[in-house]
Amino acid sequence: MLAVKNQAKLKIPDYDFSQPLPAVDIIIVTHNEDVELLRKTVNAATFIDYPNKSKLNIVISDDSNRAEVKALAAEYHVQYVGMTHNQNAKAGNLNHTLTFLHAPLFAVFDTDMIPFSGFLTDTVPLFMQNFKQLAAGEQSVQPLGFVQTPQSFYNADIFQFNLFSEKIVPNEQDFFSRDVNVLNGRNNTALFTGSNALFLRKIVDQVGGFPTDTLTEDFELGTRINMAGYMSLATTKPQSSGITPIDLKGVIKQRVRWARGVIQSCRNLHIFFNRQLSWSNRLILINTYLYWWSFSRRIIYIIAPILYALFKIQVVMANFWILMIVWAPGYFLLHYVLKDSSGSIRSERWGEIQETFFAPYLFLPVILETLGIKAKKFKVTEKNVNFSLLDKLYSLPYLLLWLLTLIAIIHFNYGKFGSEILVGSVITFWLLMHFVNLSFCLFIAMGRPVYRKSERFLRLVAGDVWAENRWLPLRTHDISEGGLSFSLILPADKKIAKQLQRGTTVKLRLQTKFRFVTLKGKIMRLSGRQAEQVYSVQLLEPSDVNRNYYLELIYNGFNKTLPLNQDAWITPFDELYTNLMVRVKKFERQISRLTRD
Amino acid sequence: MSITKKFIYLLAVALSVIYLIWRLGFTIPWHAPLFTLIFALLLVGSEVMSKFNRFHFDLFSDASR
Repeated sequence: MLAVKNQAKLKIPDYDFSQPLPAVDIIIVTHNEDVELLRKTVNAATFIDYPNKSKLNIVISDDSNRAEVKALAAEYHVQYVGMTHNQNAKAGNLNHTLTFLHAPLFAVFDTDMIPFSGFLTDTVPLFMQNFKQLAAGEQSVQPLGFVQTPQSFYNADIFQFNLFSEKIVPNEQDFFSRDVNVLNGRNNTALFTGSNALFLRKIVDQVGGFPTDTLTEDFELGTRINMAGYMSLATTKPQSSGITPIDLKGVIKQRVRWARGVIQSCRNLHIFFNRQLSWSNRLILINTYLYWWSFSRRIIYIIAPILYALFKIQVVMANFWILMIVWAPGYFLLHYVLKDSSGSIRSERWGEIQETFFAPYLFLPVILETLGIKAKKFKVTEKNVNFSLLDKLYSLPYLLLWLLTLIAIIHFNYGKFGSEILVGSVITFWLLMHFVNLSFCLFIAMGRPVYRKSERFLRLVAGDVWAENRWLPLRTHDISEGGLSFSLILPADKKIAKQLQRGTTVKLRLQTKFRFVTLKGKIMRLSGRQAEQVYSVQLLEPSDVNRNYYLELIYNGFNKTLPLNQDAWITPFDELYTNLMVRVKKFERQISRLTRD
Repeated sequence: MSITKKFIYLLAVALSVIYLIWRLGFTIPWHAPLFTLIFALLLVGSEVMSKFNRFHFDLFSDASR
């Protein structure tokens, strides 16, 4: 364990030009997604930096043989591999496409994972360094199987969005990909998370390609590569950005698929007894496996105090004072230490809230899958937002548990005095904790209307606007596919102000690394004070070349409007208050509207 | 991590282990009705597993931060 602890942070070397530059295939996997979504990813792939672009081959791997996808490939001059009658979902699609490809390295991207231009700069040099070390015959060096870059998302996830906390809490999955998996990588056994990873072709062929007997071919492939004696690394800087579903049904279905898949794969891999696994790798896998049981555990934790408070069913035989001596010091000490050790990405309480949120929907699938009752159908998670009545039904389990907990708190403490309340305080403490967590779940499940059509990105780009027969320099605040906002560098005089009024159509140009992007749009709103007036513009669809450069400008890089770390000054209780206030205000508005009519 | 912090952390781990031993050895209602007993065992098992998850993560992360 000490050896693991002492390992330094992963350092990515620069390109070593004394070494031959390997050829790379970049595979973009698609099944039935919207072509416009695919366009962003393909476009971004063409912008990926590589010292010799002729060694880079972009491939669209389409298992439903769509003419419009083929046309898109032609438009961007990339390879197209189509297929019909795919029996094995994403794994089948990838295995089929690999038979047409020969580069020593290949990368995999999901349709909705838009790569940044630095993706290869962060991954290929690690392979080149490894090749060099192996060629030099360094005994201690393990061959490198794959490099996983973190998953990042450019829209707010369901927790961030529905709790009105996009600017405070980081994406829930960040905890895994930027904390847990990086630690796994420090142990040379990072997990493959399905997209934005770079593979050594040889080893993927050697372990039989992408596994087809599971719902999570990613997790299983990564582990098989480790079992074959190849290491896997995880980098920390996002090099791609995707969409995360924000409707309740979509989020839950996606999570159920992961849960079932990981449990299946753990069975396939015999993680507890497999002799090919190193002990540290086994520990990581067992930990991953047990993670999926945390949701069943959460249900048990929620129900236990309710059983006692409402039905006098006592599942822990303990005297209050002994419990206080044995349990309390350890519990509070641990929480005190963990406050600054569990990292800023996920505080303990947020972890509990997220666990509570998934618990009612994950505990059964995990149990069923463990018993060998499989759900075989692989469903691609729908990323389009569609709120339906069914979505509302999904909040019933939370409502039920919330009500039960509330009744339990009241029933348990009603008519009790002094020492009685003290002795019961442990039960009350747990009931209250769960009550808070469940309240959050209710807020999350209630949802929040989505107004914006395309995600806005914080981007400070220099450019100009055409007014008074000349280009006036400007700087953007945020940009999106549908619009942007900007301020002029020099304050507008009267003549200019007259030309830049609400409702006028303006011509803009923005500077990119390569060229100017020319855009046209209508000024929809003026805000801010005189000195720093902000113009909000609705864009008209730009022409082909301009569109490609504009898309690259938007999507190349992390969306800075979302936080990477948790704001430690805002506690979940502040959050609960904010949520209550926002929703109460909305309710008041509805009431006043009703009374006015 | 400072030495004091490390010491406090180890103390916390030790206390948790003592707690779990106590939970396993002295608090399970062996003579309760079957349903209660099953639930009691599930609860204890969950607590042990949770602690494993927790310490595993800390073990890998603490010193590196």
